[in-house]
Amino acid sequence: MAGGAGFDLSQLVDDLKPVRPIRVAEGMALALAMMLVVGMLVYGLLGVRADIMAGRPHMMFLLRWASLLVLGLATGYAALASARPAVNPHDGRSIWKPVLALSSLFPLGAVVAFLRAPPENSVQAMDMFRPFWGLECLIVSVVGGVIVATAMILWLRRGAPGSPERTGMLVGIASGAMAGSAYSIACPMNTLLYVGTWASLAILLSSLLGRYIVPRFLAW
Amino acid sequence: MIASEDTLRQLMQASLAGDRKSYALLLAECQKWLERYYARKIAPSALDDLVQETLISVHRKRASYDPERPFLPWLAAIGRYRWIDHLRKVYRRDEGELNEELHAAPEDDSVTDRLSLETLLATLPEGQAEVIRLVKITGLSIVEAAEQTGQSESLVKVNIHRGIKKMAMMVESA
Repeated sequence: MAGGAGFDLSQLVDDLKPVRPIRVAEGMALALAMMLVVGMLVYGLLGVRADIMAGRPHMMFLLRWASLLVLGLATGYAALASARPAVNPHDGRSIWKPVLALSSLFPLGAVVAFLRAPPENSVQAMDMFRPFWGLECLIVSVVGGVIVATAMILWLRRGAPGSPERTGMLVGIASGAMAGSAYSIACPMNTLLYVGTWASLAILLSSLLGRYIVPRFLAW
Repeated sequence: MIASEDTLRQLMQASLAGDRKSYALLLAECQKWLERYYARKIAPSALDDLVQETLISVHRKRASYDPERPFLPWLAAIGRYRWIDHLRKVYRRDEGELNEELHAAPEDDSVTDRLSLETLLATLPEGQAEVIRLVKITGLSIVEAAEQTGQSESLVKVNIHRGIKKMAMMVESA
């Protein structure tokens, strides 16, 4: 379209077709469906923890699974809601901040657990930092997160996120947390040190990838 | 005179359903509103292009409007995104990259007032505001601005960089 004063509005009018306003709930449903896909892949490739199969899941599993899921939902909602600019900012899209603060108790708890580990357990504590234990968590969370993030990005491109960088970071956290939550059904580890270290690293990595890669797909 | 919020909202609701007459009216009103919105923010020579780009964004992103919410804050958010994008392009072209986050959540016309170019420039040190006016608004070269202000060429560049960065941060937090 030619620029400047010669711009003819009728070009846009002629191009008008009915459109259905985007609904954040649909985006959330899509993200959750992708999380389910990741969960099924995890189930197929890695199996499920014995305590879940026995119907008596460990408390640490429940804490990890639920906190990652809540973090994923809160940040996912904030990311998807940003596709509709100037909508009431008090519609719950800011709840991700306290949720993220609460989730930071895991890495903080891991630090405390490491520092307070009795000398006889220090070797065991150090062992938790070896990639052998956490690499699977890191890879599944990030790769699974790409599946969730792709669906979110495709949905977000229909909208008009005003801050692609911020939305990208939120997409990264949400997708990493949702995939991490799905992976937790297979991960046999039950220590705070492990969860606080590797799940947190996975989310940190996802958020950085989201912050620096996703915005180029969201610019409009 | 620009139509009321209620009228614009009704026109947008009809437009979303595919009513071309309403859409033509709506775009004409949007054009008037945007011309006023941008008038105090950018150089007059860039006004038509920016209004056009924003109207195209309004068209492409109309599905992001929530029919239950007021229309003008949505239009202002679209306009604000395009404006900051415009500032970025101008800045990148001349000086390099500007990496501020964009936030677009204005709630009412007071945002327009807070973000007027003169208001933003008034918050900057005179040295920065002066070279931004000369180079970015009047259209002088870096060399000419340096001669006119007595600043060195590198200081002119630094002052433009810092000034625009500070303005973008104010836009972000408005």
